Amino acid sequence: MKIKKICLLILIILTIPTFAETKRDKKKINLLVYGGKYTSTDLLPILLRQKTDYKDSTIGVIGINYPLGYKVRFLDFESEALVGQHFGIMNHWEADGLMIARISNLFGLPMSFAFGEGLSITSQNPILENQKKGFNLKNGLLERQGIESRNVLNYLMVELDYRIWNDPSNPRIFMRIHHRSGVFGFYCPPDPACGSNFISYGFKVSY
Amino acid sequence: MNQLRSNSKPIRSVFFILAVSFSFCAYHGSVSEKDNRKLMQSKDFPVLKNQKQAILILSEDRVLRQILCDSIAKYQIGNCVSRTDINVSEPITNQKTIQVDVEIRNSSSDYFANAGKSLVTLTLGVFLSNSAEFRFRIQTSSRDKEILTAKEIDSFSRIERWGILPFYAGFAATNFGTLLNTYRNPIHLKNYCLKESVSNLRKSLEATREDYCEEYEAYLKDSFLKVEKEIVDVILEEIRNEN
Repeated sequence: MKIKKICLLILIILTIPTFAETKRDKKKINLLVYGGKYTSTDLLPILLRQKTDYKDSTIGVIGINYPLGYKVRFLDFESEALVGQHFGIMNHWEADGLMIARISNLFGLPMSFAFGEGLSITSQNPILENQKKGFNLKNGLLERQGIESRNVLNYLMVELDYRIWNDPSNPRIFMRIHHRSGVFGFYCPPDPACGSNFISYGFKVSY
Repeated sequence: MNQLRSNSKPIRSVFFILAVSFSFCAYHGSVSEKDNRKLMQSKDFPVLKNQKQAILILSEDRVLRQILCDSIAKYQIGNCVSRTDINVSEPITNQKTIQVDVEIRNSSSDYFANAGKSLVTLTLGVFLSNSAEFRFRIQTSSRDKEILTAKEIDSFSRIERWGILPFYAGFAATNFGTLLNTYRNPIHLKNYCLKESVSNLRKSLEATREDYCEEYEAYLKDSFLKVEKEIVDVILEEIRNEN
């Protein structure tokens, strides 16, 4: 706990110079890379209760983010393309295309909150997104209904980024929830719903 | 579980790279602003042919005044002057006074048009637009301030942006976006660019005065350029008649 507090303090001290200039360059392409761990917890409990049940499955993602230079009130819009590889229990490729709405300079800090919506395609039906009917040996529960996922699902992300240094390359660290979902039965049979969540951490720069 | 695994990995990898490239290109080019080049072209100032023809433009709308001055310079009609530019020591052979104003009517966020377009694209498309009718009133007068002619020219402007999202999300974003985009109604933009002061709350929830003026100029230029030839003809005709 003490280490966490010290790290947070160092981070704040390091980022003080970035407070002076908090405007983003709206036309620069961003390159991003992030990694995350699978959790079987649903999106809302992760966001609201910060309670997560991790599994031994990870994802590594690289992507390009392009600011569209269009603004509606306090929202800036961006487009993003991602390619990811799963490791651990799952071992397949994933590609995502999405549009992002971002609120920049939250509370006057070099921090932004973003929400993205798009489409996700995987090279095979993800193992952890499927569940067989019957008795589950892992958790000792009787699953009355199985979960049947699909290769193509809706992609959704929630991100919080923080600029770590005032530089033309605008380096930022971020935390993102990488979410694939069936949108209440639109992409896969509902109840129980299909999908997956990865709590991810990454880094991005502009060029 | 192993049944779910596929043996055709290389083919699928290629498919994913193609899918990513396609999706990025689609989004990359998705936001468009109509006639962007057209909007910029009036910023080029050629050498004036008729330097001695002074044209004094009177308007309550400074954005419109600037656009008209750019147009006068572009068509080489004369030398656009403001009241402070008039210097007695410099001989000006002719001076024409033009009073120009613009009235904005039927300013709209095009809710039904945008929702309709999104439905036509099977809820994949996101459409955001604002439109208005612009009525330009041009009055010309001679040096003794007598009004010689008055003419009204109507124009229309719509600036639209579009994007692609998954099914339903496009329709939802169109509806939500149109609600958020109401502050871009041209009449609202004109009001906060030229008349009302912009409060701090409005700055954080809507836009700054610079943003309002930038957006208002875009709509005004778009509508002006559609009838630019007619407006220039009116001014040229009046100059010829007086000469």
